[in-house]
Amino acid sequence: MSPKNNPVMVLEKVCKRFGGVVAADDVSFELEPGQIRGLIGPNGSGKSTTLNLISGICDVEPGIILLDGEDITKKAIHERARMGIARTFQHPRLLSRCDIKTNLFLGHDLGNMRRASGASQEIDQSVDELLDVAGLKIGMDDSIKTLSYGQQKLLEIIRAILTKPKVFLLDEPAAGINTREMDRIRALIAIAIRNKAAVLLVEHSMDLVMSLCDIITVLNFGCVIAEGVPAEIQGNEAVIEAYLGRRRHA
Amino acid sequence: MVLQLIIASLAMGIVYGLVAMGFVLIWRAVGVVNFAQGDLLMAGAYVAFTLTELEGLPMPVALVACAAIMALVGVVFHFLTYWPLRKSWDMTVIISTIGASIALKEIATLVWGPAPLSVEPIIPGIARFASVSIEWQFLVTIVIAAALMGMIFYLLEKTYIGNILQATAQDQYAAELIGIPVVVATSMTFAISALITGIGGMLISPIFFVSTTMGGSPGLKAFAAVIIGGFGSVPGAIIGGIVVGVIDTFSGAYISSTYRDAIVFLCLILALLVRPQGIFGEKISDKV
Repeated sequence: MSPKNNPVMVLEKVCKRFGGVVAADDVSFELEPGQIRGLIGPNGSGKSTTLNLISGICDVEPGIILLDGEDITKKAIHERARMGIARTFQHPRLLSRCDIKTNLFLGHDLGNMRRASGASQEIDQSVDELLDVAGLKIGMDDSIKTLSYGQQKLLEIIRAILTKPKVFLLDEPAAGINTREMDRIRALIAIAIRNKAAVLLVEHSMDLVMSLCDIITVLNFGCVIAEGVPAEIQGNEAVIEAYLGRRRHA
Repeated sequence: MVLQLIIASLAMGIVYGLVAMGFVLIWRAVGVVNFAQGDLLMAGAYVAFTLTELEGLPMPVALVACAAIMALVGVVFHFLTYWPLRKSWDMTVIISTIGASIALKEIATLVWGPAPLSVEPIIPGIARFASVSIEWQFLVTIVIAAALMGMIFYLLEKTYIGNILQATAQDQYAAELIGIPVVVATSMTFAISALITGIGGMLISPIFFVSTTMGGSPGLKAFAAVIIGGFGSVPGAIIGGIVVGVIDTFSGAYISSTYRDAIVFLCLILALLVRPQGIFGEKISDKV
């Protein structure tokens, strides 16, 4: 594991209410570069809300989110994206009427504006490498509509990695894909980690979570009920109860 | 006679096409039909009147100035009618544009008065080609409108800014998440929409009188053009505009100038019966 106390992102007692429903209640954790944190919990436990709070789709009320020590709680979605927060969706949200090139580079060009560098050759190399790792044999001018669901998910992950994110939010990358594509996704996440991204993985596939994550946060009803390495989480009573219900003692 | 009518119908059609393009850009960007589109044409005509008749600016300068002012009008329009309501139901925004339509007419009445005004043609007089005489204004209209359409088409399809506008139009939320400032993209779209529609108003202002209600009929006909061309399609808007212009002018000349509007809308109904998705139609979405 990488050295502790060097987080790129810190969530401090982050809350979100939808009317009377508490979707996030004092959620706190840290993300470190090169580390994968799993975020798991039953349906409706606040995993997606947490991703939405980090990417800025929902307003935090109250609580603080820090990126590189800077409070980003009040920043707009696109500002956060430009600061290095990338995300993928459970159902890929690509620009369906644009070609693959536009989809891949639109976000990346904006990233280059941020860094004010013209390293296009380096980008081309990394695109080739990423497409190779993902096993995508596609033309840059092809329409998004020619891709299968799994290929679209892979492409969305590639798009995010190309922006060299500091924080990479993955929302259920394994949902609805086959096992071969699952291996491709693992390989892509490994590249993101090599690039020192801090990965937050929301996932229902326990195989993927347990094998991939360095540390896991478990949510239930918006609260963090457990945190620890995969082995600890697997044996945690509160987690088992949240997923399977309380064992009745006769 | 027929050639003159063809030129006249092309001139009207291409102006309808500009307004139709204005409709389509806003519809694609924010998913609502702007009911004040015709009034933006009227605003463009009044701005043109002020610049040319009152300020006496030379034509090319007036054209550029009118474009700049109308782009600004578009940005203001965006922040007053759309942006505060962006998270509400589409219908709310549509009603807001109807309100803007009334407000624009009333502002025009307050500033320029209720009486219709006349504007000199950009190039006065008649062009003669062999035995055919054509008003210069029609030719100027066709050339300027076609050039403007070409520029906007290039901007949307071939440039980085166009990609950003298209990305925002397709999925605002996904666009924001890859770092696109959506407010910039939507206000720019409104600016372009108001600009092309306003220039349309400037081009037809010497052909008709400039009045506060002059936007009504071209606005409706442009809307018909959008439907005939295929809702949401930019090339469809242009072709649809020309189709409407041809029907409009020829029915006015050969059938009845009283019923020309009715004939246009009759053709719209026929088009909806025969090909409801329009010439370049994508699947009709739930927003229509």
